[in-house]
Amino acid sequence: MSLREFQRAIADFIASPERCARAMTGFAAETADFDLTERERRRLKAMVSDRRMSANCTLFRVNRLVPIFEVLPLTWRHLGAAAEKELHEFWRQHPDAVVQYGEEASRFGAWLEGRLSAGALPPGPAFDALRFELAAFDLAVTAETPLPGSATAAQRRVVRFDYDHMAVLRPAPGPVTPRRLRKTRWILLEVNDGGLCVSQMG
Amino acid sequence: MRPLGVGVLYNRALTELLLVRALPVDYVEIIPERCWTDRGPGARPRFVEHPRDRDTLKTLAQMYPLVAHGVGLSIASATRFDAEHVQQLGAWRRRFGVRWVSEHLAAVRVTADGVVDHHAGVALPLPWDLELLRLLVPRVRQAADILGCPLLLENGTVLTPVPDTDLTEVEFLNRLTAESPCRLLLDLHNLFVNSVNLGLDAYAFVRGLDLTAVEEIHIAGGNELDGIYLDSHAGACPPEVWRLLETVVPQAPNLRGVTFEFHESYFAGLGRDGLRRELIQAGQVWHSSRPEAGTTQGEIDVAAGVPASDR
Repeated sequence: MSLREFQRAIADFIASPERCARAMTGFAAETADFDLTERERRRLKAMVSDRRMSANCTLFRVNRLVPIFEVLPLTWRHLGAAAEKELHEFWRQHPDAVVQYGEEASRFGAWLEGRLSAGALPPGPAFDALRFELAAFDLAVTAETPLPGSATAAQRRVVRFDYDHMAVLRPAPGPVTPRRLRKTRWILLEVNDGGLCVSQMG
Repeated sequence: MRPLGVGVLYNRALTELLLVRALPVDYVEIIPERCWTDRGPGARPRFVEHPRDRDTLKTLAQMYPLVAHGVGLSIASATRFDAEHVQQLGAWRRRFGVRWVSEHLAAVRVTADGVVDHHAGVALPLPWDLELLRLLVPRVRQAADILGCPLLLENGTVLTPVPDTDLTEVEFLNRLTAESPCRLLLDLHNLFVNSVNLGLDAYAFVRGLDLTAVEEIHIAGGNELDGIYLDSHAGACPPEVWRLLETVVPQAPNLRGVTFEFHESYFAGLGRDGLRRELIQAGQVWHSSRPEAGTTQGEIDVAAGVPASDR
């Protein structure tokens, strides 16, 4: 299975600019894990040395970022300066790429929740945004389109907000932190024939 | 099967425009994988439909001929051939009356750390070797059997080509189409991208290619990132892509359609008028060599009141 090993090796290098950099001075050590023929080794060396290899690495990261950023734009916004650091740590712990939007966003969401539970991230409006955006995505892809006025439980989600939901969902420009609420608020997300509808409960 | 004419790759920014027939298109191309979640080999059910996307497709299928453009098969992966994925594509082809099915000549899945279906995150550079050809020929045959129609495979872009291959890309494609039921989706923007980034001669590529195997053409626009030109579907086609289209269309006797692709995140920049201009220009190229096919476009133009200057 020569081609199989070659593809595994290219994929590993594209996923790791650090590995590409190390290979520039120690190619043999960086490829010792792969069962490659001499021809494949020469090919790989030429490709890794190509100045355009860095663009491959960039594209890999862009392709991994897109599902998260598309599904969780508000979460990303409210994470602020922590977003990039959390993303890189998430990628380091989860080197396997997933390009299905919902799955990758859910994995990143679970990662953030874990970081919150572990005390590595402080509570904040990002977690309201996270719950809301994952629920909205889930509804958008899984809910049947209801007949007018007949939404069922499968077409609704209730999301908890600990921060002012208007400021979380429509953040003003600039680094403004939404106000923490004295009492938890519950927001209803519902699919109707026109799309997703958001309303406050109680 | 009769040619269709000019189509557009569906994205959510197009839904309203297509539902009111505001675009001069003869068909709509869909990405089936956007309409389901793939829970992976072994999961039951493996493919979970997105009901609202499915409902949109049902509506579109009543209004336009549909063609399918898959993005998840990874037919050139050495790990394994995903027959279940093809079966799902085939089921959707029959369900929605899809005219033809295309995929990428690509490897995006590898085995890593014991995970068989590890996603590489990008399409891996392919070695144009006899080993890969021997891998693909039976897979294409199997795919065509399952789909009940030939499989079209699309040429890709590459930033770091695999050196010292047995064949050139053109020779490889010609062998693949000669030895299997594979037909080609010739992506002219991908050719242009490779000409910009690698210095590849796109016209030499076209001259060497067996154009009787080309059944669909993709056109698109791109943009630059750090000095690299990308197939980002960022808006209008560059002039070089139009020139390539004008060159290829008259020489591809089995061509069934020309599809314009753009990513929905660029719709604001392209705009409805810009989109119509791309489709109308593609229609002009199409009709200049195939006046008998793709009549829908003319009808839609009239119905939508397109100014004569736009045609």
